[in-house]
Amino acid sequence: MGDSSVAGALVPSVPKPEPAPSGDTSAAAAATTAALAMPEEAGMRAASASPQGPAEEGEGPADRDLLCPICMAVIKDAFLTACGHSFCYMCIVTHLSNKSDCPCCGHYLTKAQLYPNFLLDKVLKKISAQQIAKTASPIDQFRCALQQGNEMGVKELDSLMTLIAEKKRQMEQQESETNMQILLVFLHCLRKQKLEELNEIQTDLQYIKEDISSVERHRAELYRTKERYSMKLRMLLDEPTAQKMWPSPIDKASCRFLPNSRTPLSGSCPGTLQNKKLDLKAQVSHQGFQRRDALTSSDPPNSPIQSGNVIARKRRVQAQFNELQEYYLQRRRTGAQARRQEERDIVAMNREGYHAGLQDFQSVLTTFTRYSRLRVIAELRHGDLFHSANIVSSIEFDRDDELFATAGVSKRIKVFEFSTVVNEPSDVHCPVVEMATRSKLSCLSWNKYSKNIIASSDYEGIVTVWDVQTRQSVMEYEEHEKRAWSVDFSRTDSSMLVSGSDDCKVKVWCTNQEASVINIDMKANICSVKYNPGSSFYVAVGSADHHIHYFDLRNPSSPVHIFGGHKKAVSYVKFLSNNELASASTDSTLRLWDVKDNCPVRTFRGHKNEKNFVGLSVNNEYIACGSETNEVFVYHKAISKPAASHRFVSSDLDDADDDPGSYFISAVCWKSDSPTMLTANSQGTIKVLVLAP
Amino acid sequence: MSGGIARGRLAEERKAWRKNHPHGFVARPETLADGSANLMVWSCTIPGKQGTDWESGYYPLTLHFSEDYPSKPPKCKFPQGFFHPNVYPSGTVCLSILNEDSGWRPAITVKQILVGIQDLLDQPNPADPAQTDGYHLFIQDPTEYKRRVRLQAKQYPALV
Repeated sequence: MGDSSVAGALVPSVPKPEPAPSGDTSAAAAATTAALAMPEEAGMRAASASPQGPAEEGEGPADRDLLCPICMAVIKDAFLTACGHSFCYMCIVTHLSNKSDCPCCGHYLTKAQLYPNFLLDKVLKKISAQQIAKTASPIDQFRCALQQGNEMGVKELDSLMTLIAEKKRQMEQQESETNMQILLVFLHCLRKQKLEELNEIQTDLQYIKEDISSVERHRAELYRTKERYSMKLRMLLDEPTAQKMWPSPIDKASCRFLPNSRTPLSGSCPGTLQNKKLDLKAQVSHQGFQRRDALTSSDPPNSPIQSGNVIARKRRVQAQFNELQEYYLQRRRTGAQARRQEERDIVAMNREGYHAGLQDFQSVLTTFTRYSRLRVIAELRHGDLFHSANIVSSIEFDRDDELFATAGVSKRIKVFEFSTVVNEPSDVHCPVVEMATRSKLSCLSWNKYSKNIIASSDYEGIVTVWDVQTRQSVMEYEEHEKRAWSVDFSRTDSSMLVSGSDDCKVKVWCTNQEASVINIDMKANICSVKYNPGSSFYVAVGSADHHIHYFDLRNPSSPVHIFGGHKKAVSYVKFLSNNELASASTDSTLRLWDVKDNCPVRTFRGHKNEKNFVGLSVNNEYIACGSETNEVFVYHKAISKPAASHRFVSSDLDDADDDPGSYFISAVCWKSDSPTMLTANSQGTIKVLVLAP
Repeated sequence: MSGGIARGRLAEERKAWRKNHPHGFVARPETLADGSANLMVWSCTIPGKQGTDWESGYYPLTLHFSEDYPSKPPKCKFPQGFFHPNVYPSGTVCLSILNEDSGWRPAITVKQILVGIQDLLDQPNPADPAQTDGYHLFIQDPTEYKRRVRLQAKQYPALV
């Protein structure tokens, strides 16, 4: 009877028509309703608020009425106070353990005056369920309906199951199609990529096949013209001006002949005759050092261990095979420059049928495999023994490669005669000229026209032009406000020179006036400046902002181009030719740039350079630089890895306090068109090195 | 003693405030150094009511809740030296609904507290003085009292 009375109480709050209880239960419900007026009122209020759910403002009051005034959460285990307020049981009991009043109205209240409100509990549960149902997905509602045993006909179930099965089939088919589509796209992309690789490989194979045929034909022709070749060699020997040319063909030919085929040529009369003539000419002392270079260059073809030499060159090819392969394919794919082809035609003999790219690669291969190490041919230790700071910041050959000058922290410019240093072994070499300076020096640059003029830059920012003969300064430029790192005379206009400084300025000077001709403000420290060898207008500037700024001095307000790629300051810039620029940086790399097309060509790695000026020098084919490991490294301009290196030994220490491991190479300089170069380190030791097989 | 009701209640208060709060009022838990919220200390701003001498002022108020909340009321503090007859020199607000022994009820919400304090600004209770300066001027020199109130309103401009 109690249950039926509760059900009866719910009838007025449910607007939907439902089967009404019997008349007897209705009367009982009415009686019960009167007895429970208070809880029914609360339930009625909550129920009446529910239909207004969609309205957000209506939601507020409903929520507040469902919340416990103490914890502000939905009431759990509702209890009613004597004054008519409802709370969570735990909240009101906790409150009454401290105070004896109602939290809402303050009326006197004790635990004895609390009563459970079962109706409110049920109403709250129902409302909570309704809210859950409102937010639940249709699938959840459907699942609840099925689980609760809702009356449903078999036919309806069959219909629903048919719909569900069809839905499932469609979804599975769509997913399968999507997967197939993705797989198809992947396979198409893969095939496209592999076809491209195949085409590339086939093209490369075609190039290689063509080149093999060309080389084989050329080799056969060489056999047929053997006698004419020998006669030509004999003719070249009689002409001193052609002396430097004859080794090249021999060296190139030696790459292609088999070891056993070298024996007849090496034993022939022309070789013997060549050897004798060299011995005779070596007696001429005033050109002894030049002859020595020629002797070194011509050693390979006349050496009894020729077969060993060929094996060594093959080993060199194997060691750098990947690099050579990359360069070969690059040349064949893009084709060599027309200008290079013309140069090759002049030198080449009977080179018909060669592709320009192959010619270029052959030249590189020959040059690269010719040398593998650096040999010391002279050494001098300059500077006073009492000077602890002997760093040689700069070492430079003059216009004719007869004199070279050194400068550094010793505050002295010393000029040596190259032939004397090389030919006369001595414990101490005396400089031809020595000039004292007020400040430490950072860079030297010989004038390219007047043989006795040299410029220097120093740590006070002064650029000085010296006359080596009179040992006096001709001009002093004092506009730089901080240390000047670099100075360079123009090759085409001998009266112009350029300097760069830590004051972030590049200044162009003329030897005829004291004030600077052009001033360029760079906003970053300048580490190096260099004139283009073919023009007095173009200047490359290496900066601490990691970039190389290339200027046309006729419009100095902004650079023609900025070469970016180095990750640290650019310490040196040098020109290999009018269009080829090499740069060194403290990111331990050298980079080669094309200043005509304004693009990077190659990056060279192998040496270590993180903080010092270690020197950079270039000639037509090779780039030399120092390393903070006290080694000199030589790169071929077409190969990214070092071709040769030489380590300075520091066992001849005179200063016990110095740390041997801290020495580094501080300056290098090539002799023009020669495998010989000058090198110096932070200890003050100067060595003359030559590239050797 | 309250068994941790305080933090739960304050979390619900924060939700209720973010859902619906009066215009111009600011109320948020203090942010700790590690970026988390300290529910036990709320930084609030109470705007001066329009049409009163307190107009255009935005007065900073700090609510300090104890672990006994909501059995015990929070301590509400204006800045030290705040000019009002019912504010102690320390800045603590003297208001009946904030007094555990008189008007406080656990059912009183943060919103009701802040609105009640806003009402108190322009309707001081001279029967319960908390500072001599404000009280004396309010009783003896209404003109000077108004001038001081407007001066203080300028000292707390809106934080835009």
